[in-house]
Amino acid sequence: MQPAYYFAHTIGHFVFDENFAIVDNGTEKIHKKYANLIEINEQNISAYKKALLALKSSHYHNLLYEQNIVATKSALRSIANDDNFIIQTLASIDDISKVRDIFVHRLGEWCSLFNPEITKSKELFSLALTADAKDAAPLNKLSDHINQLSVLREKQFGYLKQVMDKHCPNVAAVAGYELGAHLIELGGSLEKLSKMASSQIQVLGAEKAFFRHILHNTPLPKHGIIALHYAVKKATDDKKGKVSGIIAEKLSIAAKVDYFKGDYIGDKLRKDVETL
Amino acid sequence: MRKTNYPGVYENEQKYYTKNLMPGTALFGESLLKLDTIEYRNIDPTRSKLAAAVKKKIKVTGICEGDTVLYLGASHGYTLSFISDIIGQKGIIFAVDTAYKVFRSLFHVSNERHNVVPIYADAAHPVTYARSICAVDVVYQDVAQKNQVDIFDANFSLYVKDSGIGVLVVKTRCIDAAAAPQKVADEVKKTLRAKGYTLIDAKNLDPDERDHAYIVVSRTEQKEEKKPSRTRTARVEVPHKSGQE
Repeated sequence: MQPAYYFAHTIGHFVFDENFAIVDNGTEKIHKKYANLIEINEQNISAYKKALLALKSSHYHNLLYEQNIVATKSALRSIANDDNFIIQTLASIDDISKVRDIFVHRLGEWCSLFNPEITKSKELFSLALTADAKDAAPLNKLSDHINQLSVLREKQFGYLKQVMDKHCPNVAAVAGYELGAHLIELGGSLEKLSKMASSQIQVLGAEKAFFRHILHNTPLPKHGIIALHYAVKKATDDKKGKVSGIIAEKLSIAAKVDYFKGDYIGDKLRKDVETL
Repeated sequence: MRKTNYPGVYENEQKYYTKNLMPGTALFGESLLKLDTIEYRNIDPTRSKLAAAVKKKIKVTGICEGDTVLYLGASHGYTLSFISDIIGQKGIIFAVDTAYKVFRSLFHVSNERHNVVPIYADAAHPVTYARSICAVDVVYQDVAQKNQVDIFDANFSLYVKDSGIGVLVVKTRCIDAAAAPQKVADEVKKTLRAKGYTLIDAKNLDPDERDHAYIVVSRTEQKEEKKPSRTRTARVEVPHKSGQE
């Protein structure tokens, strides 16, 4: 009955003798008492196995259940982090834009009944007012709704800016808020983005073309979602590939600085991009 | 309602049932059947590979009443809930999954059923949850990974006691999408034998679960092989008395 091994488990701390019979157990306080024992860890798999076998008893079922429920709850809560806030806000903004576009299209169709010459959405609102009061009322309601959606979108975008200024200011400075959020969404998280090579960031969002290149030897895509960056848009067709390569490189630096909580170097990086 | 050769599994008009551990609740919209005072839950072979294997008349399912089970790739917990029925209150089942979206519903299942322990971890790294569980009788694995045999081996080696059982549901399309499913399954069996496992039975699950194979294995230590003890497999193979309940 000589204590030989010490094992820290979720359901408590255990002390085993050489035949892996439980000698003592308790909370982490007992560690001091048995500080000179061999601690069971990942290096000694056979001891690990025997210790887990000693705990295989219906006596511990309740403890195992309760402790793991608590641990899992907190693990599931930790998913509410800035990365996922950014991803959800961006998805919400995209949804609002889509819905608004559908409504605007409907409003245009509807208005053209009153005045077939006017097709531009700018003039819709004033037109709706001048139409016959009874028939124009539903149009006005729809147009109010569209305005409300625009306000909501602005508010959501404001929140996105706020989160990104705190979480990834450098990425936001180089890519802008919308593209930066898209990159985090495609990469999965800022952590994953910071571990990517710049060449991978360059083709994020062009996975289909990229794997087609690997499988069927088609031309390599020059850019993925990065094509939305203003510098890439501005560049002539023969320069697009090179420009997106440089921007991807700056983004990769920015993501690494953001993830490891470095200083703000966004202005310098943006200057490099602007002088292209 | 007839007892089948498989512990805890019942048959009625070519449908399979388990005794409901939580009478009155059907978490997955399955039909409940009440005979006398016992309530049974219908298990659908197109949703559960366990039921598909039963339908294909596999030798053993690998799961008995009172077992401690490690379930890798528990997903929403459909099959898991029936294993929870089979093992009963005396057993315990550790449900491992790493996908957040499915884990929410899995967590709900474990809140309802007190013999289901949720483990939010990646089955590919068994050591990460070693301090949360205990040794087990059975490993049941149903993960969609290319290296599913390695994952199975790593978990089996660390957690299963001597003469324990392993159930590996092979998703052949995950290992090789182009090769013939039967060929991939045979390859898996060969790999398992090379790793020192004894094959108890294997069935492909067509047509209920296409391109899947249900493999039951065990592994006894070299020295124990000389005197064949009363292992779990031997016990399971004795058919239960079947008859009308």
